[in-house]
Amino acid sequence: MRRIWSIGGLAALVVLGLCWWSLRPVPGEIRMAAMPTTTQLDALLRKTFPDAPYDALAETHKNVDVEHGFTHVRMRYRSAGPSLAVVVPASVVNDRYAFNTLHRLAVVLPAAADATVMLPVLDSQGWSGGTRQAVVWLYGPRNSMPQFVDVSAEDSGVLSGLRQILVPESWTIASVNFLYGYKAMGVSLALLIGIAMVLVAAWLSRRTTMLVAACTAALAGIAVYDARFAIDLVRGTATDIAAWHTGKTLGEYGDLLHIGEDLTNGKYGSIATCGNADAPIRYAIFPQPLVAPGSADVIVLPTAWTMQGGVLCGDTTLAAEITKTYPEGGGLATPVPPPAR
Amino acid sequence: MTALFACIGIIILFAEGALVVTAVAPRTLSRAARLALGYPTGALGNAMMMAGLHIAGLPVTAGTLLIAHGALMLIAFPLAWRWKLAPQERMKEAVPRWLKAACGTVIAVPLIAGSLSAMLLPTHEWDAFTNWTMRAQQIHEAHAIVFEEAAKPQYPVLVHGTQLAATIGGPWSDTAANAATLLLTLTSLLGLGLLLRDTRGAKTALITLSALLAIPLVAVHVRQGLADIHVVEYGLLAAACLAASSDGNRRWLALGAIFTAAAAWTKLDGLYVVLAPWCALLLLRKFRMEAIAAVVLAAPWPIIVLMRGLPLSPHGASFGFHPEGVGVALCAVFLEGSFGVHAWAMLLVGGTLIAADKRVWKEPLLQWGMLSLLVVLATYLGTADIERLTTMTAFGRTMLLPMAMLTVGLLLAAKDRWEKI
Repeated sequence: MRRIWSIGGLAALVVLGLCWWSLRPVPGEIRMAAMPTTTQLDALLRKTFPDAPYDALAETHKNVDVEHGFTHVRMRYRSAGPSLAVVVPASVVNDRYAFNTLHRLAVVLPAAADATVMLPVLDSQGWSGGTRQAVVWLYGPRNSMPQFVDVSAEDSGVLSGLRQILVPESWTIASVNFLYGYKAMGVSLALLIGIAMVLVAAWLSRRTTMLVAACTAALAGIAVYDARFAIDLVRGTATDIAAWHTGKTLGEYGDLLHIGEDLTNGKYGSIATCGNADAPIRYAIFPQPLVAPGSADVIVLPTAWTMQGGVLCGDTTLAAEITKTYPEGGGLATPVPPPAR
Repeated sequence: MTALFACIGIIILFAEGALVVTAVAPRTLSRAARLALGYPTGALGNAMMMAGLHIAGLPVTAGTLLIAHGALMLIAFPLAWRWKLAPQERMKEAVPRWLKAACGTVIAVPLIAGSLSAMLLPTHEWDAFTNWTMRAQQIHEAHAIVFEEAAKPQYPVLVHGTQLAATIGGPWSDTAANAATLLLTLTSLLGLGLLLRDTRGAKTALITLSALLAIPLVAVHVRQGLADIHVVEYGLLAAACLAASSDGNRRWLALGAIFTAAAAWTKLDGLYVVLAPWCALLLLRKFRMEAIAAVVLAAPWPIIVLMRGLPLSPHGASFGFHPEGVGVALCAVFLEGSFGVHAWAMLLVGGTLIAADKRVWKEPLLQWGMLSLLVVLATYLGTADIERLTTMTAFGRTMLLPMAMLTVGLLLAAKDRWEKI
């Protein structure tokens, strides 16, 4: 029995040591945030460039394509002002770069005459040890675009993929249809624990009945996975509650639910929405119906972008002016009558 | 005042449901279990009353619902009063302190996180803004079940009715509506735990509830907003009653029929993954009355829907095998995070059980789990719903019931064979 505990303790120390080693920062690495939805990306753009109209922003991108797997993208750039960098692991399908937008990572970079950063692609849900392509974007004002000087792939070793266990499980607040799960070195943690369960059951079966061994190993495996998930469940819940009660924002909705509250508490006349704001706003103002943007007294903008000629409303420009903005980039606008002839 | 009206509505559902459960259930079901199961049962009665008022052309108001509930309670009270609780000879089972602590933690974390989320955050699920809480608000405003204005008019109204019960006495309250459905989850899970404790022992109940709430997607859905979690709750309650009927008492099946019907009144999926397997399993075992009872209780809503010329599913149907979905489904179940390591655990325990005792296939919950799994897979791999699998917009949620059912079924089957294999 003592030998079992010694071997087990030694194995645990080795695993912990490997995990600690994998967590060591790579020089120049910056932390990036998951940016699964376009709404979140829009909101981050709005916050990064608060004074820029939508059509004054542009993006440039570079593809990374190498023969071997990599963990980071080394990006050398120059930028007169802040810029937004987005990276996503990709694959080549029919000679085109394919990627899942839900796997994007983003970070706001400071102005720099010539700076190099390491973008940690391995922190993306879509990364695996076999990732050999990635796409990197830089967003900035059209008249002073940030520029790539050099982009290359860097591999900090397969063991650094152990830190993937720390990548939080995330879900969109608007709908939880599935969960990504965890990975370690690009391999599903569920698979790794599943294999471990079988090995533990086989080892225990020498000491007890087959069923007791199988059930013990199964329940232990469930407990280990649940312990990992519980951290993210608690953290995610606390983050959402804090965000709502301190800033009245919630996940990818941003300011939308706050705007809905304001509309029910104030006197706004007829209300219209742009983009994908209709369902939550319709619920908030019920039984008052939504109207078309052209005939509304106030228009709800999930992200309040100005454009030449008015404001961005979905995919079009609406002749309106922004009358109120919210901290996460949302806003209210009122239609502007056409100029008299 | 809103809180007062919400409490009154909730208490009525509790009281009425507890009377019905007492009238129907075996005498061996504990008082605590009857009370806990009262609310989920009352929610079914409430939904049926709303449909009855709709058919009769009467408005759905606090007054009409109060009269309807009062009438049911008057009928149920003498039936419940006849069946005094038998002296409880419940199995005395010592549960080790470490097991209580471990299971208690696994159970408490998602329930507390979900409860805080449901009560402190506004409604935030997109489908709640379109199909669920929104429609409840529409019914609250119109004093009638709305069809033309509803996004998915064929959806059954148990969830809407439960939210309405807490809000109908006053102005619409988002918090009260969410509290009402949160209570449905909490009482259903508590009732399931107590029912398992009464029939299988405290250890089994604790471990089963822990394994259930350790399914990551279940834990997230406790936050409320969607109806899938309630289909799982009612399905498991019906399954637990079916398992309990092995003691020869058919009253368990009568109680199970109520929960089966409730699943069908919650979401149309309940017809296919709860009602259909229930009927198949009971007819195989020659329990025709209880199968018919479930169908009779569940039938009114599909009849109302069909008579309005609406399809029984909001999704179109075109048939054809889609092999590209097989890999996606396997990844979703075995490699991704919706079900954690449960699929692997099922293979390990299920494989051990089957290798040692082929009769394990006759376990009703395992049969139910496999049947519902086949229905779900056939739906996604054999129809136009393949798109909702490859884009993962619904597959995970629909798989909640089969995975939960198989988890519970394997644990109960293992318990019966503990230390023999």
